[in-house]
Amino acid sequence: MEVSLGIYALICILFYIVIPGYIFRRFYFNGEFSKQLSFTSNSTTNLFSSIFIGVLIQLAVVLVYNLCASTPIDLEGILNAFDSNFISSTPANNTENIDQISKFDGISDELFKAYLPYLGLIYMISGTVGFFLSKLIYITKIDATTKLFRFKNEWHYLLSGRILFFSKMKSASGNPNKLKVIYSYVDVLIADTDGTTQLYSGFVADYELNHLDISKLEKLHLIKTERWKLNEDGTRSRKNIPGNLLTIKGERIINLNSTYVCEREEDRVHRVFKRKRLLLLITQIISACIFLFVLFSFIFSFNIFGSEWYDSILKKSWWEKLLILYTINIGVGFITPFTIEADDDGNDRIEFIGRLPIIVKAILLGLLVTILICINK
Amino acid sequence: MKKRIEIAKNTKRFSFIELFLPILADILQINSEADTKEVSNNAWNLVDDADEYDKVIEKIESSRKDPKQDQNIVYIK
Repeated sequence: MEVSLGIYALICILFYIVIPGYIFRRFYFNGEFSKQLSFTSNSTTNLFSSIFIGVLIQLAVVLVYNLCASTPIDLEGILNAFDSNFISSTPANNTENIDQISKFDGISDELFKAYLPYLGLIYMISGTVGFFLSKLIYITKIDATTKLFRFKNEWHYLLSGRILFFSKMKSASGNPNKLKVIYSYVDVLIADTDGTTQLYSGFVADYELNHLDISKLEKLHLIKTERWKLNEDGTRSRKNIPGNLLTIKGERIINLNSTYVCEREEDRVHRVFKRKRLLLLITQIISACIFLFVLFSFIFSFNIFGSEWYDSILKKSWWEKLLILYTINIGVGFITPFTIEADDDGNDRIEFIGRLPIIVKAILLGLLVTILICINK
Repeated sequence: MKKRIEIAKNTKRFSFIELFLPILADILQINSEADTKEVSNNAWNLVDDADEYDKVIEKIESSRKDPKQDQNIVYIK
């Protein structure tokens, strides 16, 4: 069976499917998990994963847009006219329309007015959704409890104590939902070059993964490290190692014994706090996403609502747009007037930001709205 | 312990940002709640807190000697 793809089909797949999918994954695998998406990892799997996620992103964006806009996106029409929309109908040697020729000769205005703003917006949305989804999965511990969502960094789970939340470990660790891992203390048995072994104990400060194989530990950094010494009478004693940080090469580690130092939280208080915290964080994520989508639509002048009133906002000057954005920013702040803070016992709790900040915010919002109304009169 | 609580308090308080840039404050809070480096940051704070270090080491030692201790999990609170 022969499969042929034209240049426009390849452009369409690359810029509209693969790149948004890749950007989503780049932001999804951030921080400790950034090595999961590297140039050394499997490129074919990466390509297909990016295509799959890119298709999902495109479908979701078109679906949401079509629900909001008065004139929905006609995917079939866009794809059929994709190549013809790229080329300007104005011939290169046509001197009658000087303005058009002076821009980009032979390239359609559609490219600058529709295709590129849409691409910019979709790239930004992909990154934002990827980043926040990753945070949400980590906060809710879905990655630890559900294998499907687990990040490919087993060393992080082991060294941070997050392994206690694995379903297989739950029976061994009691009820991990009531635990909060504070320190991770390890005993590391390493092989010396002369064939002997040494035992070190210390608190985990950091670690590095092998850049070619992320399942392997490259280095383990310990602080407050002690070396165990075998006495003549057969007993062992500890000797403090001077210095700030002890680095052990991963390839020399024979085995590793982890001890997790945890805080136990009261069941009832913990459950209530967890529910409130999750609700607050989800609201914050949604409000931040909405604000960022509006910001991106301003940057790329793309009418995300497909309505005339939003079009009139996009045509406003930059400083007016900035004023509108700042007003939205202050307004959205009223949705989540809470912070998560530690009390005197070290327990996290949800705190209302206070009456005074709310009053200041209300005055500021009133002032901004008044300015906007005055400008538009 | 006190030092860790103080640091936790300071890092989670963005009152000025919360007042004028609430979206940024929300994003910082989301980021702080999904902090993957929390355990290693706590270990670094332990370096300057000799009392807390002694207390934790003592707990670890007594826990290891106790045969009834569940899977070596040490509780400090």
